[in-house]
Order: sequence, then structure tokens, then C-alpha cells
Amino acid sequence: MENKPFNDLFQGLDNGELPLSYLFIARLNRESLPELAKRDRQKAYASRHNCSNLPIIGSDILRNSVWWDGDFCEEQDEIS
Amino acid sequence: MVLILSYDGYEQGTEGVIDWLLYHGHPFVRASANALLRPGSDWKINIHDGRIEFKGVNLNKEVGAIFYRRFEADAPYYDIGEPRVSRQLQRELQGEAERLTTFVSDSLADKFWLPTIAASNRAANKLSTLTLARTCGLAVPQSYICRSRSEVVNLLDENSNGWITKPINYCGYYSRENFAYTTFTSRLGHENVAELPERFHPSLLQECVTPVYEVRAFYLMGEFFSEATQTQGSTTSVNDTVFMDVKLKTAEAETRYLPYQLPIEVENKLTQLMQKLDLNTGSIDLIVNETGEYYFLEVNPGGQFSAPSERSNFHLEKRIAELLIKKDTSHGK
Repeated sequence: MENKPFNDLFQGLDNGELPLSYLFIARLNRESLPELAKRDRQKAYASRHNCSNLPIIGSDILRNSVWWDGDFCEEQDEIS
Repeated sequence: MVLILSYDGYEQGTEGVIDWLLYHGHPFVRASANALLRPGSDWKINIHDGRIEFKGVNLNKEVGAIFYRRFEADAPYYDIGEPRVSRQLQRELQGEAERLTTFVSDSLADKFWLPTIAASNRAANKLSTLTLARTCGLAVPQSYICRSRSEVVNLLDENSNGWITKPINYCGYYSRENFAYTTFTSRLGHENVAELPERFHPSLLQECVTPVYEVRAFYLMGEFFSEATQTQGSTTSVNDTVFMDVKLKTAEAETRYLPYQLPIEVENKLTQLMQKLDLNTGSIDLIVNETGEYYFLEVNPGGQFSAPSERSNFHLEKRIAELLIKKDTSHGK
């Protein structure tokens, strides 16, 4: 883990322009964060239940009811 | 039928609850705010009589219970080469989306919500919730909004235990290549003062309460399912930065998670807070210091509960699914 890579991430911003917590922002390998590593694994398998199950017909539910449009949601996880 | 308002993609709380709805063979429909905006999505919205249909289902008629995880649309940012115009367009599209999602949720206001959107939004403001928690008799760390180095110096002079700073709202993960950037709760002491800018964006400073252990309590309709987290020390140092964040301790072998019974008087105060917030569910964070005092930190209405559920055998996903089924079945009767 590296601490304070403020200028690396927020190039051109003065550190007074953001809340103090951002001054201490840390940079970590994704694999070292259990939460993110888990999220990456889950992303690989996608959501289990992007479906509506109407009507419920046993195990056919998941096979026939996907309305997934492909825009996997990863809020605030990417630099835009 | 149970309506689940959630994310498009994987969401830990959603998936586990749906597993149990499937197990019980109870009908449900999962929808997202982003799906509402997609041109090809199968929503029909009649403003005249407030009728909402999704995939041919009349939600006003069929739905009795709603599991709310998230129902906010992300307006697209169209980079048209002029940032000012792009930002204005995004703001306006966001406004369009918000009015639309609000109309949908308002039209379903007579259903059982776990929890309601209004209560979730209110409780999501840490600052207001801290103030409210005090009125319920809960101990909360002294908290201030600071904007200058001199204010920080004054606070440090008043309290030699130091202060922590963390976002007022939230900081997610900024991803770049194989790295993730994020903020953790950071300790501020006299040693940090020199590096602080003279003036800065309004920032939350809280009295540093050293935890002997932390408690995450999941609240569901008056019941508490609490887990204590014990770590080896409470700080993680990187060079001259000292973090005080339990998230950095999760991977350590010495970290222990235990099912925990909060004292009844603390539960009573927390119940009072949840009632004032009109919240029927939420994940509550507390710190217990060396004198055994319980400090309330925050409540997250859409908190992540699958980890404590699994570690402490709470079966929260099952409890939530069965509550939704019960409320759905009894709705309007």
C-alpha cells in the first residue's frame, strides 16, 4: 500500500480543493483488497439474478428470464 | 409479488435474498433505475392514473412488498468537446431521471417498503444522524466541520488524543490498471499539521475514539443481529500516515469476528434512533472503548450484510426474504 498518491490521481488539483480525507488517499493493489478481489470474481460470473421470474417454473426461471442488457454496474469504481 | 429495486449488476444483499425467494417459490420482479431509462426497456408509465407496468406486470396491483437497495439512475455523461455544455446536459438528464424514478416510487408508496427511500436518504446523511443519535442518549464522538489548518490546530490543542478525518458522504474505489485508490479513516495529529493546506474543502473531523472492538449491528424490524470485530491494534501505519480503519484489518489473521449481544439499554437507544429515522432496517456501526462505552458512528440503510450474516450464522438473507413474503402475502388484507 502506498499513501498519499494525491498528485498521481488528481493531477492538476490543489490539495486544498478536496476534503482532507483525500489528502491521505491510499493506493493499493486490487488483489490486496478482499472486498475488491471478491467483486472482481463476482464480476467474472456476473449477477446471478438479473431476471424476473414470472411465472416461476422451477429451474427454468433463470434460463429463460434474463433481461440483462450488459451494462454491469460498478458505481464509482472507474475513473471517468 | 415482491418488487426488488436494486443495481443492474451483482449486489450482495440482493442476490442472497433472491436465492431465498426462489427457494420459497415466491414471485418477484427485480428492476433498476437504469433499466427504466433504457430505450428498449419494458416499462409502461401512465401519469394519468399512476399505473406502472414492468414487463407486463401491473406493479400497483401485483406488488405488496418492496425490497429497496437502490433506485437511482446514473445519467450518462456525453463528452461533446465542451465540458460546460456536457456537464449541463448531464445535470439536466439526471434531473429527468430523478423525477421519473421518484414518480415510480411515489406511485408505489402504499406498499410495504424495506426500507423506504425517504428514510434511507435521510439516514444516509451522517451528520444529521449523529446529531439525532445524541438526542436518543447515544454517545457519539465529538464531530466538527473544518475548513482551515488553524481550526485543526485548535481542535488538537483541545483534545490530545487526536482526531480522525473521513468523508462526510462516501469515497469509493478509483480504479486504474491493477490499482485501487481510496480513502480510509485517517488520524490527524500535531505531526500532520504542517502538511495541511492553509484552507481546504469543508471536511469532517471526529474525536479519535480508540476502539477495544467494533460492533456492526444489523437491525431488522426491531431485532438486532450484532457482530463484534476484534483486531490486533486499531491502527495501520504507512510511512507517516496513520489509518484507523477496520477495513484494513479484515485480511489479518488476528482479526476475530464474534456474534455479539449489545446491552439492552444500547439496543433501546438504537431502536429509538431507528424509529426517529423511520427506518425498519439498516447496518449500524459502533465502537466500544476501553471503559466499555458504546459510541455510535453511523447507520447505513443499504449496508452490506452478507459477510456478518455468513460469519455469525445470522441467515439474514433468509430472514429478509421471509419477511418480504409475509408482508407481500398480507398486503391489503
